[in-house]
Amino acid sequence: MYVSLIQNAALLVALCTFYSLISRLRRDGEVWPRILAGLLFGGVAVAGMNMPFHYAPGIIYDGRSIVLSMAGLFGGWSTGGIAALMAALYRVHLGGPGMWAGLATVLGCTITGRIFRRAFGDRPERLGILSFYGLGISAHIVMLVCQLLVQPWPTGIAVISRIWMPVMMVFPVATVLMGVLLGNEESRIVAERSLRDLTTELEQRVGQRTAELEGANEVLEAFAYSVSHDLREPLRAISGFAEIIARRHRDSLNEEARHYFDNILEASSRMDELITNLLAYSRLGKEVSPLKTIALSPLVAEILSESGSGQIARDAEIVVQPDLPVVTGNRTLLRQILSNLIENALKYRRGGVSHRVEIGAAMEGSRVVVRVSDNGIGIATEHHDRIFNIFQRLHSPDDSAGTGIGLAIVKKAVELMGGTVGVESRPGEGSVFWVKLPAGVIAGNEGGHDEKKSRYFAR
Amino acid sequence: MKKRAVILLVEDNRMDIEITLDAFREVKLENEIRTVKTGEEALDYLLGRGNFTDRESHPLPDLMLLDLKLPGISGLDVLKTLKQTPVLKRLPVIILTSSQEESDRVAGYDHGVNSYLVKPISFSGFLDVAKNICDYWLSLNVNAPLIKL
Repeated sequence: MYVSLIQNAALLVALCTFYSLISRLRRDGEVWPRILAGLLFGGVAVAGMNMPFHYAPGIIYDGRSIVLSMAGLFGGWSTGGIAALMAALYRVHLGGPGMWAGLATVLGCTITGRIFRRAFGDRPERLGILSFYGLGISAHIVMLVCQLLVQPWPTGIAVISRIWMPVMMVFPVATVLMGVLLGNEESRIVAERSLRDLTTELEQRVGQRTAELEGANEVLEAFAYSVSHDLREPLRAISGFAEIIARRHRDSLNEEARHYFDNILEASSRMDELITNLLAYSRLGKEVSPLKTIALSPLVAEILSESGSGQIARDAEIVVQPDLPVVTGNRTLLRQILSNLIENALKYRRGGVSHRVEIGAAMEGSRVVVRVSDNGIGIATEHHDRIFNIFQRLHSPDDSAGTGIGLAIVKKAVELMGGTVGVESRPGEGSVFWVKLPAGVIAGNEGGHDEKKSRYFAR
Repeated sequence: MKKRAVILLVEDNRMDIEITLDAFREVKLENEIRTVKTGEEALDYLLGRGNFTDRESHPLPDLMLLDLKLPGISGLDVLKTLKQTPVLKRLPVIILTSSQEESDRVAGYDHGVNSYLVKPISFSGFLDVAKNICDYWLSLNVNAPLIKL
């Protein structure tokens, strides 16, 4: 008696384990995991019938009432039906006087489970302990009624009067235990599946939004590109003919006309600069080659030899930290970034102070932070984000030459290389523009050596 | 004295035509510049079709200046047709365009253009272009005959 109780319990635990395995394979609209679950429930019901509690020859009781009500509850019609069919066939195979009662029990318990499933809106994981107990009571009342109706009189009433107490005490409790086990499994699976669905949906949405943004960006860039090209055509005529007049007919013009023609030429060259920068901005990233390890020191030296000696660098002290680290990036983009930042640092000066520009860099974890600082006019905090937007100038064109595209180019170029850019500045206290980029890879010990050095310089 | 060289200018923009012609005039080019405004006209001229059947009044050019952005048949298509036509393929062609795009440059050279120039913004830039074309393409450079006899 106890041995068969333990055997039955072990069988139920095995059922839970296999059920969990099968449920993992379950997807919406797929039939075969349901069939598999039906075979599992049916198999367990059959195995349970092999370890029964014998009441009398041919009249046996076992855990099939519990297993089949669970099959109806958790599996619905398909799973429950298969399980019931298997149990029924096996019961017929066993035969005996209790066969019809046994078949009625099989059918009754499965239907009871299915009714409970429907009552909870096809969400069996919602059943609590009380509900499972209710299911246990209902299923086993059905089972007892089956004995009464199907067993030949008066065997039925005799059987019931002897077994109803133990059955109604033990079986509903066992139903609760098994229901809780399977219910936990079910709710875990439901949670997992909704999480998976949510993740998939989120990924889809992110992908869709990214594609939309990329599309919009491409349209914008194509727009800027063709606008810039088409703007050049009339500009060429304006500046070309103005220049012809200014050159060829200078002598026949009076002072005022000469001055105005010079204004036209000056405005034309400014317009040309704007278009050039706009083109550069829209072209950025169109022809980006794979990122490589690039040494900053020679690049900075190269930029300074071009712009550092020009008119813009007059009377300014430029200090470059020796042994700048290496970064991972694109040479053309890096050049654009650094020359724009250095040019800005040289441009915006404060009266009464000897102008000083510093270029340095330091390691910060796996990233390199490049800093271009000056002691110029500085920028108020409320403008710090704005200046990186295209066409945001803080100064009128008469104060200082600039197109308002330089920092937008810097930002876009930095982001194309997976970096970030920012500014630390206050009015009257100069500005520090920093660019964070992935560090470069150098072979051997050199890397560590460089890192130490740059840390030292950073202090 | 040598026969005056003929340049065929393919350009749709009236102002660009005027500036180009003016620049060539200022560098005292002793040559003749014929202007056509579309790709179709350019091909008609080169192949002696339509209005250009008379080779006496429309002589084959010694050099072609070709804009890329043209209405209808593009400059690139004119170039392709030209380089595939046996009697015209040796005609030196210089692209003169406002496009600096890598794709345009690649396509130009891939289809056998002899030189690629970007239209300058200033008139002095055009003078440079005109002067260098005269000095190099019409003086130093030696053409191959278009039709081998």
